[in-house]
Amino acid sequence: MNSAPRLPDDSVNLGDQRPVRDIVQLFAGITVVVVGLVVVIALATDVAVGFISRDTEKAIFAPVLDTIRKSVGGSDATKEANEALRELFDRVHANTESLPYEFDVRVTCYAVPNALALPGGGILVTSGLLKVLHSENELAFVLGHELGHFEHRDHLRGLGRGLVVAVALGLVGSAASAEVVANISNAALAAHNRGQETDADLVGVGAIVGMYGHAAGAMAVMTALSEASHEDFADRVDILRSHPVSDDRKQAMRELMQERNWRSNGKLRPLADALQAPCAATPTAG
Amino acid sequence: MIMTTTDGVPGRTVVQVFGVVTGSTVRAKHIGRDIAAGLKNLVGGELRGYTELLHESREEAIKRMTQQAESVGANAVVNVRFATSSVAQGAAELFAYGTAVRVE
Amino acid sequence: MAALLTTLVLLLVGYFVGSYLEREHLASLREREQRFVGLQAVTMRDIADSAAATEVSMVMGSAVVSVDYFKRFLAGLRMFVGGRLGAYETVLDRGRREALLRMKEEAHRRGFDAVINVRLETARLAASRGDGKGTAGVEVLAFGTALKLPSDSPFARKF
Repeated sequence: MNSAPRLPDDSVNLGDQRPVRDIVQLFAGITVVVVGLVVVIALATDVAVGFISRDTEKAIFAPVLDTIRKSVGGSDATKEANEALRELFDRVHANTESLPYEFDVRVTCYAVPNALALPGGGILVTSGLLKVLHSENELAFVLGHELGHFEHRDHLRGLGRGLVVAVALGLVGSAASAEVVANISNAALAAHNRGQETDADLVGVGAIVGMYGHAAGAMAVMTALSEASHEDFADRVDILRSHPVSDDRKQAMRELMQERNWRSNGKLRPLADALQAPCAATPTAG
Repeated sequence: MIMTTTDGVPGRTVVQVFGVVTGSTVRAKHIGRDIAAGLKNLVGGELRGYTELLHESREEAIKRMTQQAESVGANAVVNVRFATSSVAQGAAELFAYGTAVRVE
Repeated sequence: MAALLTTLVLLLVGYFVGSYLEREHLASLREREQRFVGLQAVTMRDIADSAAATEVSMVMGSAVVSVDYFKRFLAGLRMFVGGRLGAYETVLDRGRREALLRMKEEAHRRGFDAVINVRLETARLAASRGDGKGTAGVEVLAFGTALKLPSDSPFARKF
């Protein structure tokens, strides 16, 4: 035998490379599939939630309300503060659709401004939020907003969706792209949540117009929240945020008020004294 | 293209030796097979999805190796060996290599 | 949002720098392969006059290759739908050729004429990430038996 050393054709193993085209195609394809799945899951859970009567919801969640509340954090507020909040809440409830829950409305001493609607009929307002709001009208709007969530069963829907999407992602499991998929599905869910928040806003505005004759408190809340969270340009374009940026919410509100001929200016009533100092000791830091 | 796993081609003489030629391909399984395999891990048995996948990959690798052999003017590849290795979570590389020769 | 921007920046860096480095490496490979083509490396066990070898020794060459961010991202997406990972094929082919070249270079440095019974092994190195799922890189090892042959042998090196 003879030695006839030759170099083989190396393009055979280098393949036909078009990585940019590949990435764009794959990304687009996967986004379409994931968003489609999320939409289907959201619709399915919405339908499923419709089958859970409010009585069933009460029966399941009321007993664990305390546990849920404790998991949110913060310490108990003064009795007077809770009573004052309850009194205001009853007035708001009188101005929205009557819901059959036995509402448990409380203030919790926690520095981060927040208001939560808990399944089973719990409503929690943090002392941090009370510091940021300047009038009774604003607080009434917040309570009305939370009642809006109860009206639309948003808290249950959120739970259900979160569960199903988490299970689906778990099946996807160890694939390296799970992170990408998780981000895409979060963005899709966030868009859905933004719609729900705006719907709840509309219930809130309706409530305070009924109570005070004008909607001055609603706009004030948006401004106060925006200042408190120091929103900037980056936040405005962030598609992963589930709470709609103030500008969009304000816009939706303005449109509704124009449509219904509601006044956006009026006198604001100050917060009840007990609510201005709801915590005996210093609240827990966030 | 003749391929053997022995040193030469039995019954023929090696006249020219050109050098090593290789053929390789990297394949990833898709999510469906992954989930099915995960479930199969519960009950055991052949993972048919993977068998097919790796079989196709091996064919492709052999094809590339023979392409390289043709490009140097060989008519046989002797002493062919295979290697399979995992290169990333969920992707496997198949490669085949041998010596390209001319036999008569 | 910051996370998305970071990913995009990493992708761009990975793509442009990675492509450049790849082109450079391929050019280097072709040049060196041409230089060492005279030192035959074969997978056969015997060549014409291997019995006449004056000196025999094992030689090895290895290379560890890693994949840039862009390719890893592409692989992650590809693993959803399955199919060929062209991006990784290039990387592994380069690693293999580099390992073979280094083996030839070692044989050349020590004065050998040809290498027989060449074998190639690939191994994945796990990253130090906690769950061990990351890939630090892939190691390719080429090893064989190097021979010193009489100068009139057809396989004596031609340079």
